[in-house]
Amino acid sequence: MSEGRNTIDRDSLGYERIILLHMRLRRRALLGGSAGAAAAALLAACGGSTAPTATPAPSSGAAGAPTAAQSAATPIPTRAPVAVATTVSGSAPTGTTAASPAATSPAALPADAAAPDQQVYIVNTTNEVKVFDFWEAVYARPTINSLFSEPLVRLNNDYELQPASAESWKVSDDGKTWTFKIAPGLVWNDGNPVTADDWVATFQYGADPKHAWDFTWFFQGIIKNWDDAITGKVPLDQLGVKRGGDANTLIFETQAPSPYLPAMLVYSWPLSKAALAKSGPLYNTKPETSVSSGPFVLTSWQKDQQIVFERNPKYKGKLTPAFTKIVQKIADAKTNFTAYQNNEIDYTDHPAPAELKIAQGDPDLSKQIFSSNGDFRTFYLFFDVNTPPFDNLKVRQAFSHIVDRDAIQKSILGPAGTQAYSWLAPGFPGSQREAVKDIQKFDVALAKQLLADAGFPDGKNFPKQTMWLRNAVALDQAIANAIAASIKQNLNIDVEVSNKDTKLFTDSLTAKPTKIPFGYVSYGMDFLDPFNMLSVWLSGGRHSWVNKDFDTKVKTAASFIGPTDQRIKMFQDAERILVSDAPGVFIYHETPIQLIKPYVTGPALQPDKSGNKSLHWPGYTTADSSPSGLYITKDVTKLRKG
Amino acid sequence: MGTSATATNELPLAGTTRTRTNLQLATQRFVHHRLAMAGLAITLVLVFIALLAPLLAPEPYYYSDLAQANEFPSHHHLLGTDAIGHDFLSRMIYGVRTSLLVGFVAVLIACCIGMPLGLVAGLRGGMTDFLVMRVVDVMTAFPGILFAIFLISVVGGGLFNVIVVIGLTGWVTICRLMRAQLLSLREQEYVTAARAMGASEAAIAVRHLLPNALAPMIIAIALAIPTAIFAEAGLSFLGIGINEPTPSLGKMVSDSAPYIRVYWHLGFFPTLAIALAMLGFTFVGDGLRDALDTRLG
Amino acid sequence: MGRYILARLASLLFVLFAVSLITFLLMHTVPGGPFDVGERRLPEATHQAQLRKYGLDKPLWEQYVRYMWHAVHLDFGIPFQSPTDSVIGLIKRAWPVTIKIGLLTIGISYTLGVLLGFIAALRQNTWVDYLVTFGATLGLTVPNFVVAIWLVLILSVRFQLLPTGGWGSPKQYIMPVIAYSLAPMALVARYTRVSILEVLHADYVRTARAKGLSERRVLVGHVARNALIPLVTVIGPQIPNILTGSIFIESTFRIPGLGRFFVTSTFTRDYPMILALVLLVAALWGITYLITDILYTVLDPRIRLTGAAVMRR
Repeated sequence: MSEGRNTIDRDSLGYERIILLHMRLRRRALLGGSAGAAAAALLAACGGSTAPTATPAPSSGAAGAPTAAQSAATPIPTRAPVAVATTVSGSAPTGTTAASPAATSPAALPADAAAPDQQVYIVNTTNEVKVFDFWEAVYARPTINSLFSEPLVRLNNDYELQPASAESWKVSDDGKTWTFKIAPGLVWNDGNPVTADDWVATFQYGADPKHAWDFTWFFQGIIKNWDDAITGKVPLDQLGVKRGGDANTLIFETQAPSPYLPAMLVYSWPLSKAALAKSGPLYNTKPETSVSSGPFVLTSWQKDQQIVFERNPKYKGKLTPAFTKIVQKIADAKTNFTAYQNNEIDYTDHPAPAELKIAQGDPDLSKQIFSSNGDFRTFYLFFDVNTPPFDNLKVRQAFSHIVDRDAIQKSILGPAGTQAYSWLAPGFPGSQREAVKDIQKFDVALAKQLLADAGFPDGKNFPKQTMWLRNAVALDQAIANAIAASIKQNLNIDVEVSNKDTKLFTDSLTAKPTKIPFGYVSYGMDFLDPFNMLSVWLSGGRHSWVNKDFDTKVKTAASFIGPTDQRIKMFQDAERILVSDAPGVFIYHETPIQLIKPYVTGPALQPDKSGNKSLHWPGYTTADSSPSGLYITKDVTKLRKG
Repeated sequence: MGTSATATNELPLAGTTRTRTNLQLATQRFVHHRLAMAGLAITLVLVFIALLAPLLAPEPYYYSDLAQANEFPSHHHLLGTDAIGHDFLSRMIYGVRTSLLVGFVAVLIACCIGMPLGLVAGLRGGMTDFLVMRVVDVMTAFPGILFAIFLISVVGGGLFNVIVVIGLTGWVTICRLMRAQLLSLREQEYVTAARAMGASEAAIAVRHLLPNALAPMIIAIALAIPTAIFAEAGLSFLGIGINEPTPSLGKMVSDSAPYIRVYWHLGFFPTLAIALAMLGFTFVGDGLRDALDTRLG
Repeated sequence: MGRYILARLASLLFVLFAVSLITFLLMHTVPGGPFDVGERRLPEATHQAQLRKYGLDKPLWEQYVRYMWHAVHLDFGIPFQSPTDSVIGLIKRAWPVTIKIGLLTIGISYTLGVLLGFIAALRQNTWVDYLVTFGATLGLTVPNFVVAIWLVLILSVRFQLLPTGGWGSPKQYIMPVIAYSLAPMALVARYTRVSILEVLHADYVRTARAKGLSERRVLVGHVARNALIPLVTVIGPQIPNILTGSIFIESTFRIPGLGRFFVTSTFTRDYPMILALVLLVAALWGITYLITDILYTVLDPRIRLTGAAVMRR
């Protein structure tokens, strides 16, 4: 009888219970996962309520696209996105007042567009879906989220800030007080107007210690009294987010000059003050209590199955969505590709290695591959610089010279990533990839020499290491394994690679002192300013590295009000220190693969300034203009099921 | 003392002769059991591969060449290469070694805990039995997967810990079986006879119960080994198994999931090897069962 | 019998208590809390506030007593991973789905398994027997995910017969039930074969044959009935497993069932949900064992259940 019982043990430990690894995926992007689910239309750049017809609509978003590999190798744009420049100047962009009644009627569709009842966009959402609101839980929302209100500002397809709910903004001379003018005429679909009070209530909810939001760090050190409000030392009404002279004036006070504040405010979707008071903070999780001033409303949420959004008939904002309905099926990431192949969904990203291979080899699918910037994510090795042997700079440098990035790019990544020699990814403001390329270059002889200089000739007496991974997917496991093999083969150091669950990894990393001596992880930006990426490495931040010089440079640059060039230069000096002192070894910048059906097209899939054609960060949300930038063509009837 | 001494003197003799003849008979039956012999052959080949892995493998298991990644089987690499250019044949050979190690040692641990507990429970009965069985109940009712995840999260992954965790979840089976055997043997005629002749309980246990309880235990062990190999695969799937670069068959199967739609060899060969190991041990187990259990004659 | 059942139920209560206590202690030993998920270090104040919000700042014993006190009143709290549900609500929603798939699986795999095992035993050492034995071993060896991937590739992607997953129409049951049934079917087939063989060689069957009973009556009246006894031992314990679902099947085929919560709850450190699930499984085990034991007495009158919970054969 023993076998029967044994087999049960095997079952409960068995193959089935498992796949979760792939399921509770990487926390890819801040905005609910798939960094790639990103779109930004040119429309908002046009500044008005022009319908997509204004832009010559391509017959297919994919036709004639450069192959993914080519676009990954696209030269780095010489001009960084101007988010910073726009805001530093303090001048208000010339947003038009968008409360024109025209915006409320459905967009006039391009000639090749399918009928309104077929304007249904279907995707899988692979996140753990707890709630819908950024202010409730940032990391537990569906892939497509934040459609129930509009932030103050949004990004266009070139990552430039555009007015959204705010029609203009200006900053005081000391750089510490920001005044936003909210466009008049915006309404919640319960009839209440959208006013500054909604934002005040929203930010107060975010800072409320009773709420204990998972993203309080974001405004820490920035918004006045935020730090004391989250500890409860200061009442919430003292928070530096206040109503100005009238209901349409919103004032932000910052602790120091913060030229990047508008860039951060792509995350400023307001909650409805009235709904918060009436139905509580989870009001958006039920269609009955959900209230929207955004382009869509919640129609249904069948838990663990699917979420349906439909167009908000009372929407008064600037976007002119073509989609009448958005369906998000709740699914495991590993099922995405077959569902896509089977024409059940319109979009997927991050295919597994074999799936990308299949797509590349298929005459139809190969035209549907897009290589995006994602969230400018950088994958890197990190060390605990406070404990031997990694307290020795030479050891860290030795490790930095044995990563054959070219081979990794060619054999493992392909179009899904590009070599990283530093922290800031190409296309991100301040990126200086070429200038610092040699500091951590691949050079085995040099690595061996450095290791010997550090007192470990040919790896002798070097303690065995374990490289920690944070719930890495197959692609990153392969990269980590390749690096470990390279360390063993070239430096004769034994390295085990251990993939840990996210909580265990995070808890061990942030423990003081950190419990991870050596690991491999990634970071993707939250907003487009070098301060955001570089602040990861500040003392007391994610890692145990402490460098006063770096700290000073980053902090000074962050609150620097002056010429943008000069500010960027300061960030670049800081980044050079980071690369040289090697608390991290930079491996690759992710350029996530997206697969988009040929019948999904629109201005959002036009090439951007750097020539990249893909859905842009932050995804199909009201923080960018993509809700107006995509539509379904008549070809849909040939492919879509049911 | 005198009388019982005679009794015990006679009985072991009788016992031994009977065991010996039984053993001979059983061996004979086992040798003539075609499937069992096939299973034994498979098992021996695997053990041979495991022991001689460093001599058999064309490359060290950790050696990777990215320029040769993702190759299909060819004369350069008989079983192809994996995503980072490991020679897959070398990985397989070392994988067999790790998996058998996991199988044998985990079962050994399970036996070291399960057998004594089962023995004590079965022999002493009463309160001891009651207590042991309640522990067994608790372990049975506890979802093994949670137990494994918790334990490994606390003590960390790695080969040694994985083996220990599998051993710790596997002992219940052995314990139950041991106890059940003892309980049923206690009622057998020859035990009743020995008791009637005045043999002490301890003597009965050592001379009669244990040897006869061992036969089913051997079968159980033969079958528990592939189970442990599977359990390791399950842990690997959850990302809490053996760390790279050490290869194991179970991990290779689970790692192949994102690749097999194109690189079929990454899933096929390790699955085949596990199937062979499972067949081998199962056939040996079945053969032993048939050989040792006279009723099947 | 009555006394026996009472004793078993008392023992079940003890098991539930012990299992909950062990789980509680273990899950609080595992590093990482329910909330630290962000990319950045949370401000300490917020971390403390989160602990307060969910009562995790209290001493462990107090948390345990509080939870168990509510649990006795059938209130298992709010799952951290789904704040819009209650634990009970979530289980009520997800479990019936799993049970549906599970019952289909049990029905199909046990019927086919018994049939195949029976045939193999009657044709012992012929190619039929070898085929079944080999197939059964394969069924236990080939990972579910391989079966599932190929099912989807063939039935959905290649021939476009079935949707790749989802829940609602009977069409969507087909692939999961096939993938889920293989292993138990293989197991049942193996054990049926062995126990039938055992019975076929038993004295009373020989006697029955010698008495000149028709082969059919021998098979049905003696062999099948007696062979069921050990089978119950093997397949009984599979039932709670199958009925609590499988994360693999559910995630592959997008089935909104309970199985995945066993793993997601652990990885999200969803304490209330973990405890509820562990208690559910333990109770299910206890009840299954009890039913199995009672079944024995029905199948074999020689077996008596005694108060000491010792089962004799």
